[in-house]
Amino acid sequence: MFKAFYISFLLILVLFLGSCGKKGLTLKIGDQDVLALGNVDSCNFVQSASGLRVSWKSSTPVKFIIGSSVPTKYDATIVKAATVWNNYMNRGLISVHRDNTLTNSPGDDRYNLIYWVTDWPDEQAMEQARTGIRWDVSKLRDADIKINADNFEFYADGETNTTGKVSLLSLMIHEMGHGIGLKHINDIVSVMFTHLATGTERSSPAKVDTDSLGCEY
Amino acid sequence: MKKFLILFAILDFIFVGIILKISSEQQRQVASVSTDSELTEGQQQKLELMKSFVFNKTDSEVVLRTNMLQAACATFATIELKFKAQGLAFSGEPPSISHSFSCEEIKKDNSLDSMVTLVADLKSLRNQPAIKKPSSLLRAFAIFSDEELPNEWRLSEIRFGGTDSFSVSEVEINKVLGEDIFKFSLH
Ligand SMILES: [Zn+2]
Repeated sequence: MFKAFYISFLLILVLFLGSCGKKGLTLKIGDQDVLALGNVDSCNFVQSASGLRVSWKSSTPVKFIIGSSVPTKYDATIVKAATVWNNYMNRGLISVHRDNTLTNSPGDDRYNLIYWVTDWPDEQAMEQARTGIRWDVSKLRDADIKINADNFEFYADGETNTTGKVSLLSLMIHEMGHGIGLKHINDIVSVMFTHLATGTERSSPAKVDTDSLGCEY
Repeated sequence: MKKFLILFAILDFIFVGIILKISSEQQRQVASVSTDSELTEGQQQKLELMKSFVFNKTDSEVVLRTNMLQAACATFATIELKFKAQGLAFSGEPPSISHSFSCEEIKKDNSLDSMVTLVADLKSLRNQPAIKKPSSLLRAFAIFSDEELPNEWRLSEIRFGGTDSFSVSEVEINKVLGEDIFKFSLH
């Protein structure tokens, strides 16, 4: 009888000690990613909510339209920006033409328009340009490029007076990169690097740029 | 001898009582964990935490409720809700809004089980980069006064900050709770 009580006492003691291991929330950064397995490699593309890369898929060439607000003296530079991407990717990825008849405002109209903006909001005065993209699921349907001609001066390809001005060729290569789905790439050699100083050329896509685009195009 | 037996019987009952009390307290505090043996204890807690989320959007507010809010605030200093606009990006970045809550404030009312974001605050971030509230801070990213405020949004990330930190990501939310669970329209 005594033995039975002794054994049951020991059993309860073991159960009691076993139940002491649990604490409050013990989550930490090491527990982070296990539930997130299977996420798609971004390849420096914008990603949809379900983690898919956002691009034009097979709908290439992507047609950019130079709107009436853009001075015609910059047409050749903007066309060259598309040519640079096409040459580096060895395919007709982007096409550019001018259409002065379009009066659309930037927005979701399925026209990929380039705008020369002379009344940029003061709080965003540091922005050289802004490209807005819109998509369904993971396929792009609209891209607009706005150039900040309010706070910046630009020089065309081949122009020699570059002091205090931004290379429009470098800027347009960068913005067209956004227009076909790329994010910023934190690598100074990339044409998708965030910052472009005045008088500086960054007009040759690097391996990281072409490798990234190669994931989708 | 008989006295010993009675003493052990009493001790047995006391131990059973203690164990029952402790296990029911833990049930309330941590909730039961998943039986998935491949997950660590922390990951099982994360799963439980995610399953405890109840999301609701009305005309005036966006609410995330969890019965584990107080338990989370016992461990972490801040809880940040990240809202992300759907289907658009500016210069590679989707418009997003961060709403960071102070756990110190949440703990002041131990019946509090929800984090509330006012729709009016979300809308007014089109014209100001941040709003400081008594117990929380809202900040806007890639939202511009010269662009339309996006209509379609999603609570895309829940970040717990402090000495240790972790976050529940968009992909995890989609996988565990479903794709459309935290979606809402602003207008
Ligand atoms: Zn950029």
